[in-house]
Amino acid sequence: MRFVVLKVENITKIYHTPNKQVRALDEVSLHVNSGEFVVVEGPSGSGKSTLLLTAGSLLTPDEGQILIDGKNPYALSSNKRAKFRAEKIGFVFQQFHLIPYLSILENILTPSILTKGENTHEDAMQLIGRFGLTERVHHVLAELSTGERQRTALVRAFINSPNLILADEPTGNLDRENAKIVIESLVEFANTGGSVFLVTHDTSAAKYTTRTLHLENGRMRND
Amino acid sequence: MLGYGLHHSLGLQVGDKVKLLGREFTVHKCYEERGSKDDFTAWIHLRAAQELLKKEGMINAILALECLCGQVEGLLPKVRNEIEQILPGTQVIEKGTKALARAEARAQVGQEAKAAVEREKQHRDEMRSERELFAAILVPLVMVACAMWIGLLGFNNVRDRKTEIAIQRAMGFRARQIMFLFLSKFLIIGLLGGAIGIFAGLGFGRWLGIAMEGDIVGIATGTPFDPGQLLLALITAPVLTVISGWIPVMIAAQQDPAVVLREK
Repeated sequence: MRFVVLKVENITKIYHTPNKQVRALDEVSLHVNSGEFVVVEGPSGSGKSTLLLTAGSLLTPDEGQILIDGKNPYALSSNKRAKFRAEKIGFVFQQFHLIPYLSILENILTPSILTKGENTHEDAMQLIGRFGLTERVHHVLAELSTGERQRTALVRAFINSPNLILADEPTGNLDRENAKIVIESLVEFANTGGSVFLVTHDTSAAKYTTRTLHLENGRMRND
Repeated sequence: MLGYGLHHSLGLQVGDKVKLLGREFTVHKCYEERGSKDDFTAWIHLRAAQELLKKEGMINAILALECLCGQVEGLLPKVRNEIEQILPGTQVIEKGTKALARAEARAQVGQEAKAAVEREKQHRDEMRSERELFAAILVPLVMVACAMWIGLLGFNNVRDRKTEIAIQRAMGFRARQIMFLFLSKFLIIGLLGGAIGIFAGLGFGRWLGIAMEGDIVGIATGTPFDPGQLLLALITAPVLTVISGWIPVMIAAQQDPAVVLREK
């Protein structure tokens, strides 16, 4: 049985600059159910990253509300929201954002410090094996290829068994083969009951998804 | 008056009559043995001696025996004054013995050495005071400069790691946890810096002491290792580092991760 994991209700986000106001999101609404892989496509500057950060409880909307597993993260205190984020959401970014001086294993285990999950090391080694990184487990960032870096970032996103994966252009820096690995991993995550919300300007991701939405100038074209 | 050798060998006693150069004298006193030329000396009145030697009116010297005039301050002028009254125009000179001269020389050298030691001590005390004053100004200045430098390095470090901090915040790390992570690093660096600093400082001090051949008082090659200084450095350095790093780390931990990630 499917249930709503992420619900975005009429959110508006305005950036204030000295000369003008930029309406990055304009009354955007969407939802992502459990087991769904939803992609938001749109050109650069359409508000995709703002939508992802707002959905990820990192950027407070000016209007509207976000519900994750029925809870509004912005109603929580900063510390409780951080804990909520650590337990519920996994992030994957185009730039990977791995910690350069840590090994693959240490990078992957970093989020687990927060949740103090049991058997984390075994889980991590299992995921590392699944993503073909076993031989690289003690290597640092500089010793990894781009594909290996993104696979490491994926494992890090999965390590706390989140309900929701938020991915911002995760294949943007990858070749076709590695991009396929990443997308298929996200599909598999969705097929096992997780929810994936991916923003990209790459239309090729659409063929793997449950639903594809289009964002233009901060507004949804359809849902 | 007869010395011991004379009265003993001749068997003379006080009151005996004795002839000297054809003139009879009465023994007035017999001296005990002295172990010097006095044992073989006969003392007679000056006038009689002058007559016997046919040198009337020719006084050449009065030997004042066992007089310690030179060692007692103010005694020599007193003796001179008394003799002047009896024998006007007499020149009174002090004839010290060699032993006395050596004793006086030793005493004088001793006094000079004591004065030199006092002067050296005073000089050392003055230099110590100067160094302490110098250190009292320099040490706080160096500590402030170090604190500012660490703060600047801290700012650079957290600026370089802005994205890393933002991603940690996005993953759910709280600002306090980020601060803990960074300040722990500062603490460890401070501890290492303190330990390395104290040994490097001691090594440099010894090298300087050798290079300057003891010109700098107190920075001698024999400067002992003081565990108290090590302890002080191991406490002060991490505390200073953590305090200096506090502001940049706090700013970094409080930054909005969304802003950083959006920029990226």
